[in-house]
Amino acid sequence: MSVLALTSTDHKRVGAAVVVAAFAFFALGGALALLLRTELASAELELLSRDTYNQVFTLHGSTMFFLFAAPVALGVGVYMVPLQLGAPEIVWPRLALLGLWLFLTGGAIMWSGFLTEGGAASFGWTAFYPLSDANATPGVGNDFWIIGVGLSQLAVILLGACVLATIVRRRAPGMTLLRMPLFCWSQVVTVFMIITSFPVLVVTMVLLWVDRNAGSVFDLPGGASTYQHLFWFYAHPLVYVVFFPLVGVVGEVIATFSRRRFFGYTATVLSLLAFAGLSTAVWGHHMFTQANVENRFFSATSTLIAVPAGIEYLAFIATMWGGRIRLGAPMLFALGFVLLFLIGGLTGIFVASPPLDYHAHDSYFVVAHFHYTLFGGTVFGLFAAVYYWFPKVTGRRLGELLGRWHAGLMFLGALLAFIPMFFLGHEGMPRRVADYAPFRGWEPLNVLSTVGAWLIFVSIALFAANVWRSLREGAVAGADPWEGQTLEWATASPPPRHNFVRLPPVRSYAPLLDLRLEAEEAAR
Amino acid sequence: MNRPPLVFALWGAWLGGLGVAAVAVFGVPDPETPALLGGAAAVMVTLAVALLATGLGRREPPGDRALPDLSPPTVWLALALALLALGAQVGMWLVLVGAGGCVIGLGALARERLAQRRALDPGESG
Repeated sequence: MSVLALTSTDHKRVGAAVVVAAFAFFALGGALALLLRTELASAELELLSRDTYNQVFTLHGSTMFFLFAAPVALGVGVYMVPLQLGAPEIVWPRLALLGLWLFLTGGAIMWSGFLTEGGAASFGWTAFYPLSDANATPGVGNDFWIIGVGLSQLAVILLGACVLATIVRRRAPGMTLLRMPLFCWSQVVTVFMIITSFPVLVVTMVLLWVDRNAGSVFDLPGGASTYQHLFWFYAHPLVYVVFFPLVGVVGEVIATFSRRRFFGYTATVLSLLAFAGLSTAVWGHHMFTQANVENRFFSATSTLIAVPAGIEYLAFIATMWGGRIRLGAPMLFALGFVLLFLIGGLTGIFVASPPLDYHAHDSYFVVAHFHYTLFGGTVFGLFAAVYYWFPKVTGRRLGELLGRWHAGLMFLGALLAFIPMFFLGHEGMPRRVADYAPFRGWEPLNVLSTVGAWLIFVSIALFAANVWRSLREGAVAGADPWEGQTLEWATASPPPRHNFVRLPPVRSYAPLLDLRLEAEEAAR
Repeated sequence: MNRPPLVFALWGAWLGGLGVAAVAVFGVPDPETPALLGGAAAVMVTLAVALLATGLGRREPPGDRALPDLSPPTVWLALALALLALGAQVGMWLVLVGAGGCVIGLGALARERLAQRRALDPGESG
């Protein structure tokens, strides 16, 4: 992608640039994860010093959340939402371009902390106060982290605003809100959470910077608790901001690869809205172990999430039920998403219950739980999206055989890397530690986890090879290689500058399926 | 459900309801919980009202817009904003460089908008 292309106002170029940059950050964050896992494979320190370990795990978490998961979820939206709506362009394209560049510069500033004298930020991706004050963690790398987080999340707000405005303003004739593809609805609820919670983080980062450089913002009675409220009010919805768009993707992949209309569309849309609201009201479950938090309220909202999540799972299964299922690579990733997120969701019941959470809090159990929601959910869902839409974006299909190997190895890797962490947490291994004493007996499980992490690396390397090969000699895709159901499949692959030459009529949330069914009916 | 402002308002009301439940049913002791939930609800309801009042909640008529394919001033502005933010840490000189860059970027964007408006004007397009 040339530098000139990075000034383009075309939503497809902006979206693609966000996704490619986010994948680059994913590679960097993944490399840090391999360093962490290799260090933890055996007891005692071997590879990294304690301080370097702290920097590496801070940047691993920060990169994956702030620079990969959140931007990529919106990047896919910037590319696909106008196409799915039948719109020629995104609303406020310059704002989207501004978002892309603030994201890139924010990421660069955050990572440039490694070049400073004291190294990168080392207070963890949550920057809990007072660990993040200037006395506990001095060094300009920490301040660069704060500025980088602020800019990158401001960028996500801008990207989200463009996507939402496009949904409100630029739907094709006939496309009512309840005829929008599920992915567009998933973007609506995602952006609702972004516009209510992300500004809180941006303000919190400004306050934290002022506290470190001018003094006494959170350094007041109750200040540390207030910091946690503000941070988690952003960070728990963030978990769903990086998850909901992929629920939309997986729903569409399942419908297309089951050759059926998505089951329970309206119920799923309502459940997404309810789910998003509840997700904005569960942040206190991260604070069960501290005083002055009403555990019953946050436990109730956290547990209630099972209801909308259950509706979505039911819709996925009912869509597949009786369908003529094709097990292509996008479908394999979608199924991996459904199975692995289920592990994350079910273990979430433990941390939503205060008495159980007291046992699991700050242990590797929590690390395992959120990796099943984030890796099992976000990453598997994202790869379902990549395999599904790669032909639309590039005009070529990704290799199917390598795709299946990628899906299989990554699924095995995810089980091997994260299941042992549940047992480690149950046995008392705390999170955020650089080493542990040999007598604890945690080494075998840590070795298993490290092998799993390297297996994930191998699977991602296969994906990179697949992309490299497919861009050069992949099969030409045509406009609609999957018999898709939504409008993006009604235009050329890759789509022209203003997306559509002619739009088909929109009479439901699956307009292309309607046309196929009408044609079949007419042929009879 | 088919009118965007209604969806905004209903979702805001859902958040507000959760905030009210937190206080009235569970008696949350901290000020942050009702403030954050109430604030989020207020943002959504305000957006709904704004969409209704300005007409921005309605669909635009279909068709392309006159828009430059490339917008270097936007990129310039983003880089200037980043320098401005970084200047807070590095020093006043970088704040000034960033602020100057922002002024130039905004000026160039205004010029770009003017050209865009001219392109839309049938009298000007010849």
